[in-house]
Amino acid sequence: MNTKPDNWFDEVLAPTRASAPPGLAAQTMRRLQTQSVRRWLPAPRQWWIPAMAGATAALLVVFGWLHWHRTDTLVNVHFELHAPGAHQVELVGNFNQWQPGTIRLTGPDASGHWTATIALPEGRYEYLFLVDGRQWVTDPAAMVVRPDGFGHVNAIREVTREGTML
Amino acid sequence: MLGGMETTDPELVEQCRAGNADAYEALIRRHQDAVFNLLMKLTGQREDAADLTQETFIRAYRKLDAYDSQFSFKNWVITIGVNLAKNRFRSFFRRCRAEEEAGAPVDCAAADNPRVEAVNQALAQLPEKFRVPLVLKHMEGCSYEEIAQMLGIGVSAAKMRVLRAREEFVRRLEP
Repeated sequence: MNTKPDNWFDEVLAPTRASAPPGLAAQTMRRLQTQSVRRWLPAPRQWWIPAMAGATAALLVVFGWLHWHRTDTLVNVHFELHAPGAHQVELVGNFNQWQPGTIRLTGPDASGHWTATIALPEGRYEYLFLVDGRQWVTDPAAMVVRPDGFGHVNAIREVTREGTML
Repeated sequence: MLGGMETTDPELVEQCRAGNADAYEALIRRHQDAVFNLLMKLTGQREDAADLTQETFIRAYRKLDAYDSQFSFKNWVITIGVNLAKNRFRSFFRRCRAEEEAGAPVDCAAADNPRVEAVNQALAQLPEKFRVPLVLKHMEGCSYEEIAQMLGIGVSAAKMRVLRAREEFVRRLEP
């Protein structure tokens, strides 16, 4: 049984505090800048890689354009959350670059449900509800979820032309 | 500095989002010691901790749009660091546990002061699930609610881990 007061631990641990090495911030910024540049600049003698990528992208754009004009691939996807006490519910996910303030759910209805229907291309989407601008809520109806590594659990939804799969 | 008042973390984050790289460097300088200290306690190796600290801030920068300014930036970035360390050093932690079970001292930062070295040793011998909450509580001044949020556990579990960590720490420091 420990009988030490709380501040005893503060005092004992304080001298072991390690400080970041000098120059760490500057090094990190250099790495960030290098990686940002590297993302766009190929290594010497590897210019064929972006050339091929460019050609492939051009082909994809052409095929995509043709496909787009043949069929409408947008699918209406319905989102719903039961939050009777909430004042505002937003939908935040990789379809809106995790940017709050872009998709607001309508509600609450008489039963306390908030809803939104948005048109999305086929794909796999991760999302969360943001209640009253501060509380992140995983969709309780989601069958597939994934921890995002930052304390939240993202809901995952597959959108296909046949409909959506929770 | 703005009119004599220090710029807050959320203000710096907003400036970063607007493309001001200097603002991000200011955020790093402000919180690098807290992140480094915790990663040092986790890895026991200065080079690993420094590398992980850099990686932590790089990841945080890439996820900056997901940061909610209602929460502490320091806690958010520490959480990224802890998760990164856990993923990167799973084998390291396993080895530590094996050594703990075998009664062998775990390698940790050498210190000139014998008392500091003893504290470091006692801390390094704690299981990681106790060491992290103990450091967050007593070195970073986090509340139980913050610890729970950062580690993705309940508040009562956070309290329990800190309590157990204190007991284990004292037992190892003052056998």
